[in-house]
Formats: sequence, structure tokens, C-alpha cells
Amino acid sequence: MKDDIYWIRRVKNGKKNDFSPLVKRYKDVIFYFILRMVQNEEDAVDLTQESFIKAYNNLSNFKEKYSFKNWLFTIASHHTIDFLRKRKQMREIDLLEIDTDEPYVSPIDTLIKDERMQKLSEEIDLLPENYRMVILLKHEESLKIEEIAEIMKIPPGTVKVWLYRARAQLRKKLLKKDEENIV
Amino acid sequence: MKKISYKDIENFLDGEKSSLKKEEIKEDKRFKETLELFTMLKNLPGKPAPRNFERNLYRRLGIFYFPVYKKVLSFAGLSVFAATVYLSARGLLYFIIGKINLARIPHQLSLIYSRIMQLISLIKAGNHLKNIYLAFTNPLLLLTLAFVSSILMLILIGLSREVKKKAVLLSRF
Repeated sequence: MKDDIYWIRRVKNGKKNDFSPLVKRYKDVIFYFILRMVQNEEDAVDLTQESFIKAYNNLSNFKEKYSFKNWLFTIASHHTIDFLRKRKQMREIDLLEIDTDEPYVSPIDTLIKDERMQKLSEEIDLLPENYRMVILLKHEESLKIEEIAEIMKIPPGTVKVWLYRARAQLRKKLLKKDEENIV
Repeated sequence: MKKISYKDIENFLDGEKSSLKKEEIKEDKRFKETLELFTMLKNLPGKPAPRNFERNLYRRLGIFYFPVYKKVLSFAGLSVFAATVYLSARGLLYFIIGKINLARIPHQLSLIYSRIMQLISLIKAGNHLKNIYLAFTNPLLLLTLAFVSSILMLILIGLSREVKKKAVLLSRF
């Protein structure tokens, strides 16, 4: 946190190249978060880059009392939500024209060997976007409910409800999978 | 026994306010299920950003980018160069020390001194030649020289004529 502030101050003082330690530190977590949300590697790379560019251009608006990581996640989540909205609209238009039945294979699922983990990963991808986002921020990034609420600009109560519903959905699917295995 | 809900367990695991105690719930089936889910969610494998991600980002931002492998190569190159220079210098030093004979040191020193003096005189001669050249390139000096030399020539011609007339006896000079 203090280290981030040091680099941010240097960038604000005109040392543009000092933005690279911040990119190095957060590129992977932001990329993974966006990849989980959009489920397409190319889009995830573009969105991650755009999020960093947005952060760089708006660094003067960043207040040092806040966490840079959370601020970056706020930018990334809003950018991703905008992208998902646009994509949804585009897909609705596309669906009127083409009907495709190709199953989607997540690039992350190919990395997961364990069957239950794979199932969980698949189920996360099937969650509604808002549930998926709270799950990722809570469990992948270990953020507090209040921090997630601040990032997503929603009340903490809503975060709790979404988390509870998302977990319930995941638990149910995993139990179902276990029962299938026993039978 | 009071039935514990998933919500209570999740609140407990999230670090929210809860009246539950771990000793009381650790054997509960729901607690085990929730704990397992939390552990699995935490341990989902991540995926790093692609290799050229930083390079493309810095290009878009207009930031100078010097990747790690280039830093390593530059450092290695400089190290090799420094090592070569050091070893060559050390070899040369040992070679010179091996050649030096104590009895011949005064002779060697005088030789070096004479060589230096030769060099200095060569530089002086060069400087002198440069001054001559500059004197000739100066038009005022050149005119003065031409003027003086023409007068001297006239005097000489006059003198030679007088000698022919035998009016002047050169032996007197």
C-alpha cells in the first residue's frame, strides 16, 4: 500500500516510467478478474489494458487515503460491466440473425485438473455477472464486504445477499455433482 | 440443539459479527460443506496476463519499456566486457613486470625521457611550422614581406650594377 503511494507520487511528478511497477504488481490479478467475467482472453487483454490506461490518465484524481488496488478494481469492474452490457446487446442482435450451438470452453477450465474444481469453475462461469463479480472479489481478492460495496457502488447489504445467493447456487451444484458421482 | 443456518456459517467465515464459536460448529455438516466451498473458491488456479501484455500497454501509454530479459542481457554483456578489460589489463601488467630488470631501470627511464623529449620537440617543430603557415596566410604580413623583399632585391640589383661599373669596391666591405 505504502509502496503503491510511493510509485503513484513519482508518476504524478512526471516520471511516467514509474507506472510500470504498479502494472507489474496488479496486471495478473486484474487480468484474471476480467477474464473470469468476460470469459474471452482477447477481450480480457483489451479490457485490462484499457483499465490500466484509464487509471494512468486519471491518476491525478486518485486520493492517497484509499487503496490503489481497490481503486484499480473499481475502474476494471465498471469497465467490464459496460463491456458486458454492450456485448449482451450485440448478442441479442446477433441471435436474431445466427443461431449457434457451439459450447463455450473457458480458457481457465483447461488448466483445472481436479474434477470438482473444474465443476466449480464452470459453475462460476454460469453465475449471473453480478454474483460472479462479488464471488471473485470476495474469494479471489479477499476483499471485505464494504470494499466490494465501494468498488461496485452498491450497498453492503446487497453484496451480502448476492454473495449468499451465489454461494448457495454453487453449493447446490457441487452437491448435485457429488450425488451423481455416488450413483 | 439450535440449528445453524448456512447464512450464520458464512457470516462467521466472512469475519462478520456472529454468535457462533468454532468449537461448537466444527463438526457440523453445513459448516464442513461451507468451509470446503470457501477453500475451493480460494484455491481456484489463476491465469497470468500474456507475455507481451506489458510491452503493448506501455506502447499505448507512450512509456519507455525495458524488459527484464534485455536488462539481464545488457548486464551480462557489460559484465563480460568489464571482465575482458580487467583480465587484459592484469595480463599486460604481469607481462611488463616480468620484462623489467632492476639493473636496466635507469637506462629504460632515460630512454623513456629521451623519447618524451623527442615527442615534445616534434610538437614544437609542428607548432613552429603552423606559425609560419599562419604568417603566410596573413595578407598584411605577406604584403610586408613582399615589400621588404622587393626593396632588398632592388638594392641588390643596384649594387650589382655598381660593381660592374667598378665604382664600388666590394673588397672594402
